[in-house]
Amino acid sequence: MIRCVNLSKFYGNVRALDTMNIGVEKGQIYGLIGPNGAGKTTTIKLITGLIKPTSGKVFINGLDMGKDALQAKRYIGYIPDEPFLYERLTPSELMDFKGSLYDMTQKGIDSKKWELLELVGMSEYKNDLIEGFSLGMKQRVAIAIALLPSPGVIIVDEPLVGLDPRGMKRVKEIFFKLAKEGATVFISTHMLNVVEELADRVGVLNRGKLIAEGPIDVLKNSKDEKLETIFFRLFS
Amino acid sequence: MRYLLNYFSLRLTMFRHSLRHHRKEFIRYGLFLSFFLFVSVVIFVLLYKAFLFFNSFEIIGEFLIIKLISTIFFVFFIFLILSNVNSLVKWFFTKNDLPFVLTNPVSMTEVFFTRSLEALFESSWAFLLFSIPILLSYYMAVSRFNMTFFISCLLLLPFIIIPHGIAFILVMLLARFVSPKIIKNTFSFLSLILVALLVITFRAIQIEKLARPESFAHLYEYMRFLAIPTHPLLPTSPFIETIVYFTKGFNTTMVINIGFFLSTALALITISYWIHNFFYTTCYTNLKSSSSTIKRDILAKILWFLPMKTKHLFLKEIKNLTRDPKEWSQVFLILALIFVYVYNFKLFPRDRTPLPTIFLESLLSFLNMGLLTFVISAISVRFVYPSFQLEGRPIWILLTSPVSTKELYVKKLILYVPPLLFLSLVLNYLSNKYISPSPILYYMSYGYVALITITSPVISLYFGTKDINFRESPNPYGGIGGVISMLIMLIYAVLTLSILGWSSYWMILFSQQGIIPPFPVRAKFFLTCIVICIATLSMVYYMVVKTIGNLKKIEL
Ligand SMILES: Nc1ncnc2c1ncn2[C@@H]1O[C@H](COP(=O)(O)OP(=O)(O)O)[C@@H](O)[C@H]1O
Ligand SMILES: [Mg+2]
Repeated sequence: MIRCVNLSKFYGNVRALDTMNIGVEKGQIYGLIGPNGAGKTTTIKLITGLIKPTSGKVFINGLDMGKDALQAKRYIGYIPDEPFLYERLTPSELMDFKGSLYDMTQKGIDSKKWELLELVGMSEYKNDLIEGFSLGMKQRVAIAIALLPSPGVIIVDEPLVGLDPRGMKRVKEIFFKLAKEGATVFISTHMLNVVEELADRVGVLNRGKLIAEGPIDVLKNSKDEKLETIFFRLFS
Repeated sequence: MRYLLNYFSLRLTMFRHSLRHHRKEFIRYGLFLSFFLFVSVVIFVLLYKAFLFFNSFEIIGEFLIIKLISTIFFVFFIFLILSNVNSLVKWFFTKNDLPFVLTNPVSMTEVFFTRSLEALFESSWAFLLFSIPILLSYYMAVSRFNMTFFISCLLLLPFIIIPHGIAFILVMLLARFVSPKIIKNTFSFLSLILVALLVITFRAIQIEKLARPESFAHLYEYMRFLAIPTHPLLPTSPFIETIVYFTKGFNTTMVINIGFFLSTALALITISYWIHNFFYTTCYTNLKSSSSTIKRDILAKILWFLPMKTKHLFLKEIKNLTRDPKEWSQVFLILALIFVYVYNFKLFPRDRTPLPTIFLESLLSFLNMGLLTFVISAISVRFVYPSFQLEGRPIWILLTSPVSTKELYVKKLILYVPPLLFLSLVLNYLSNKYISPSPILYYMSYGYVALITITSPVISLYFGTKDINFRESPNPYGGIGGVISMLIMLIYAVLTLSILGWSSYWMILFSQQGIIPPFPVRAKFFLTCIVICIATLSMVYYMVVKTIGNLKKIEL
């Protein structure tokens, strides 16, 4: 469960995010959509605690990110927009590293890591140094390490950038499955079809302001209005 | 041609912007410049003295001068090839703006010239700066200073083009078969071995004795037996010959030499251009990114006794360092530094100084503590200072995990302090073996060394986390913050060592006579030791708190 209350972030005079209020329930997939520079990455960094809000609060499963950050971070699996990983480790070593940060035992890590690397299609490369990987391969490893501690809240920034069609399909399936199993999934993207396919609820962000919010159906004027048309209607 | 001008005016704009936006850059360039000026002056003075000394011998003197100057330029030549290989690999194969440049309508000729010039400048500017004082000292010592000096400075330009061309041909031909990274690593390793060899040779001829004219005889002996390659076809030979002839007036061989020299440079440019046109595109598109498979993980087995989290934090840090060939070169340099350090104490001519032994031993012991501070703080600045910065952009993995930055900081200290402590204790043990100071100083030096191995990494980490920006790659030499950390450590050394010297003076004198020092003397000594410990530890505590504050401010 994610809750943002009056969340704002200013970079100097630049208003990256302005009094945002959203709530995402268990088992839901939330799609945050907006053009480049709208403030999606800023929102996600605020939710994961990578940056601190100028004002407002973030709650993860009821825990205040400002006060109980360490506890709240236990529940979050974050997949960043740019998958920077330790280049001189192998996926297998990176999994061990990540698991140890969440106080998992070696046994617990081993029981999950092969399965996860298999799931993202990287088991073949498990002992190769990450520095030789392509962007899409790194993205897959980033997904695998995010899921290792079985997080209840999954936060994904531009999930499908750099993936090939097979990878995209596989990743979408993963998110569906996680949501069905009761995880909260929060996705930001500038790609309309992704939201349309995946999300139960949509938030439309423009220049740091949430200009529309709700289930996809609520946003539609008519039953078969395309999201693309909604999008252009909202931004015009 | 238009493109070239555009390109370099763009580079100039980038440089101006970086100066305008980072005030620190100004200081950095200033420090850099003064350092190079200082080194140039030192080179000039030393060589000038050496040349004058050699010149006082009939016939053989001139021969030795030519030998010395050819050796210097020969070594330069080899290093120029090696550093050109490095820069060429960077500018033609690994630089991340290459896909952008190559997909734009830029002709291959333009790519060749801009990139070659960048690589040439990057690898040769230091050589140009240091060659000028060398040439100047030669001219001043051997003949009168005249206009030909400026011509020989101009000849340095073709001199740098020749190794550049050789390196270019090497890189392009090798890149067809092996990945550029392997080329780069191999050649970096070669230059490292060369540096190590040079350091050891320098120690063997004890170059610092050049400061005392009477020991030039030593160098003289050495030079007489030094065999250096002086084959006439080596590109360094016509260069040296020309310079030598310049000092003697006009000569026809000189014209032939210059002609030969210039045409070699031109020919190499042409061949490089030609090879570039034939091979570069194929080489670039066939780039094999070498992916290495890790089979066994011995380190993890060695560290089995550590708790899970600590073990994996350490493993990540250690693998990050050990799997980077650049870092290995630093380890070699440190080994060379240690060798020189211990060797110096061994060589100290204690029986030739008029001072009484007790003074000499105490003086040496304090000198040793001061030098150890220097060594330890240099190593912390090299390895501990950038350790947070080196996390780089993957830092998000740590920052989104349930691990506090405070815990990370403490773990880094736990990782870095013990090896530093071990190193400093071994160094102190070895140097004390040659100094053999009184027991008081002996034990005091261990205490002092222990204190600095705690203080130095803490200070380095404080400056290494101040205004930290993970988007920048770390400066391998520590930058301004590193310099400040070292300065603070040196000030600390001067302060504590003077206080310790003042309070231990009578202690040492009494014990020397075999008398137990009277109570006030003992009390003064122990009190100062305690005060120094408390003061140091409070400073360490203050720095720790400040560093954790720095880390709390991190935003990605
Ligand atoms: N570290 C930063 N410093 C200054 N401005 C920033 C920073 N990060 C983001 N911004 C600004 O905030 C706005 C939103 O950026 P971002 O959240 O990255 O957008 P996007 O929706 O494309 O992910 C942009 O105008 C960007 O310029
Ligand atoms: Mg973004």
